Amino acid sequence: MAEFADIWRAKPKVVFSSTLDDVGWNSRLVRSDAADEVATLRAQEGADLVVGGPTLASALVRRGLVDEYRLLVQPVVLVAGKPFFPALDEPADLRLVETRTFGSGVVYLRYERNA
Amino acid sequence: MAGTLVYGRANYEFNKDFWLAAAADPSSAMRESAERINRRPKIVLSTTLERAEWNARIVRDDIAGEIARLKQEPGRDLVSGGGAQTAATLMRLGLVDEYRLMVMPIVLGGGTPFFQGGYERFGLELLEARPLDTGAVILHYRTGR
Repeated sequence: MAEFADIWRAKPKVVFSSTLDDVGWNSRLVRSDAADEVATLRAQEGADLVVGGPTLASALVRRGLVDEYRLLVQPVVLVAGKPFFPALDEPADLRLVETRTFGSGVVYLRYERNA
Repeated sequence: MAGTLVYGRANYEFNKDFWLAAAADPSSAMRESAERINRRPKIVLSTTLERAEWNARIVRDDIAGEIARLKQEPGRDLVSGGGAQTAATLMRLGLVDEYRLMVMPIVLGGGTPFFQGGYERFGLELLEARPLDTGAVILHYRTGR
């Protein structure tokens, strides 16, 4: 994991928080609306943006800012928790572009938004 | 009998009407499948349905005992095809040995969850993940012990 740690540390990051005072690790703290900020970043030239965490992601999904979904389906039934997809006003079509199966029983599903 | 199809009331009524009509329609491409399905023995888990037809009988209580008895009989597996409430009932009673989930390429943004709780967290063993040309993915699991 050391190689991944080096890559992760070097990547520019944005942290959305109203309570954090400062952030390290090549990160920038943003207190304003997350979807507005991501819409601005998305309009700029550069590499893809990656988001983690369902609460933050749901704000971006609802604003139509997510072009691709990468799901890792774990072989366990949790019985409770936070849903990955937010409530939507209307259904959103996806296009399956890749699947991978791992020895651990995890299935990777990659979808693109059907524009 | 083994090979029995297990329905809740809502899915029983929907499927009965659909498959009886398909078998009666000479132009239906599904006629052979329909005849096969119509012949299969079925049970309906319901406290309200008064009369069952379509080679089905009603199970009102002791679902666990009834399913356990059917599992002991030789022949094909028991199958419950859809119906979130029925699936949840069977899961809560610990009666499900395998799951075959078809993941569709659409985000509905709401609806009835397939895994509803009312049972302990449990592990699954992945048997197969099969993507189809339609963009659906079949995930086939065995219930973990």
